[in-house]
Amino acid sequence: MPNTIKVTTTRYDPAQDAKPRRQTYEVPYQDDMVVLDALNHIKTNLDGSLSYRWSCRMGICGSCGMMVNGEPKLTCAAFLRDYHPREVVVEPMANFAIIRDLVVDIDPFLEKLQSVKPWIVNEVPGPLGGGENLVFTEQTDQFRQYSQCINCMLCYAACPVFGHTPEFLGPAAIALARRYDLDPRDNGNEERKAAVRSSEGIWECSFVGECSAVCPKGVDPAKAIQQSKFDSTLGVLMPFGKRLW
Amino acid sequence: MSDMSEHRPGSGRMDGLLWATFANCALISAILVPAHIFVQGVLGPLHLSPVIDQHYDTMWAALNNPLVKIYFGIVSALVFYTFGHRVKYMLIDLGVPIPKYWLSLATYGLAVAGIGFAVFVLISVP
Amino acid sequence: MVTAKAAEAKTYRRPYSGAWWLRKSRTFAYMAREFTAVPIAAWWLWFLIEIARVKSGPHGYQPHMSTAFVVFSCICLLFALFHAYTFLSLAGLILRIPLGMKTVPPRLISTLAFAGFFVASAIIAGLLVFFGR
Repeated sequence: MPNTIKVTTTRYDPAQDAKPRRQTYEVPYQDDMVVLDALNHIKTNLDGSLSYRWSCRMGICGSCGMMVNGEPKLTCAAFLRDYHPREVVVEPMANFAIIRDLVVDIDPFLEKLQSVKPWIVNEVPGPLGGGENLVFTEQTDQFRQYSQCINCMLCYAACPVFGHTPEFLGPAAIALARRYDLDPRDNGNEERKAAVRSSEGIWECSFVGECSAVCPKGVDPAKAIQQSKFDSTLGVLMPFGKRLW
Repeated sequence: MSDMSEHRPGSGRMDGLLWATFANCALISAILVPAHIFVQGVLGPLHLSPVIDQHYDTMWAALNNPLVKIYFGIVSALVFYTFGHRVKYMLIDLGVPIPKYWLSLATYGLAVAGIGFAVFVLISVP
Repeated sequence: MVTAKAAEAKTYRRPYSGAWWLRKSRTFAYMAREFTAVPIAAWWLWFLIEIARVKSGPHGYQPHMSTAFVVFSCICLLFALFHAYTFLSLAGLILRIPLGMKTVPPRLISTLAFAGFFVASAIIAGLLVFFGR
């Protein structure tokens, strides 16, 4: 078994290149290496000009999302041994505009995230001395899954709807909206409706399901979107009361 | 780049209505249609079972019952609406370079045409 | 709000490919699921044409009986069953029915949906056969 592996990455310098090109590097291979290790080796020892995002290197910050052999992956969690001795092709996350090399423009996602107000919205807090804001385990069970989102955007890279309709609010934003809508401490359902229930919101989704398939945290944004559709429909048929199905 | 904070509340109402209609149509047609295809399309033509549409007398008798006509009309609506909705999104997924408005007009238009044909046939048959 | 730097940078947008669904079996299954509406509608259209032939009277009425129609029906039946299977399986995922602080288990909802499918199919098949005697 060879002790090196070929790693091909996208290269794009907006000052020089009309369109992206590829560059291949020979990287030393060890069983416990991940794709991010290979990229760090390239940058440190072979080509310091390679640009990419990374941070925690342990699958919690969501910074290092890229396409690895055509699949959206966290490069800190994609082991080279799963590809070796085949070549590994690393590309920037699909469906996002490329700024440089493996770095994509994430501003559209951040705007969408902001539009769904992913925080507890509670304009009328309880009185001081009124006691804790109790939330039971059965209640947190309803939204714990959606709270695992690390904003890595792999779901956007996998989503063909986001690919052909960049205005689509997208899986992560909708899943996070649902997380807060289901939180008993939150009263922001009405404020989130404008974004979530707009034409570019939940209704764009055709339930391909790729978002849930690629999510590294098991969030299941596809489920969040479909349940939001059902919730929205019932809200129109039965508009009275505060209800979240 | 669109400013998502400017979404008009309720701007997705029509989309919601179209989706809710599709969800119900697809669900009910999923439950009802396979039995028709199996019995009328396979068992009957292979003479493995008597079926109402294998003979003029039995078909005529069934169609003379208004409830049967209403049932066939409803199933027709379910089937053709599901067709229109799904084909619209299929064409979008395939990257067909036609604006969504015209795709909607074409696919839902075909669905309405199918439903119209069904109603015409069921009304005109004695 | 687009940052100034991002606005200045010449970003590159990769073209969208309509062939994305061919790359994986999962996405191929999705497109097949969406496509099921076409053969189902086609079969039902043939049935409406058969109904229209009743106007021709007993001598003009010709039910679909050919081998080609049986093959066509078998193919449509496969698509119809695939549509039923995928839609009813997802019912448990889509329908979140609160039960106090918990929810009705998704598996129970899907099981009930499939039970409804079998009961309805049996009733419809029974009626089609009974009134065909």
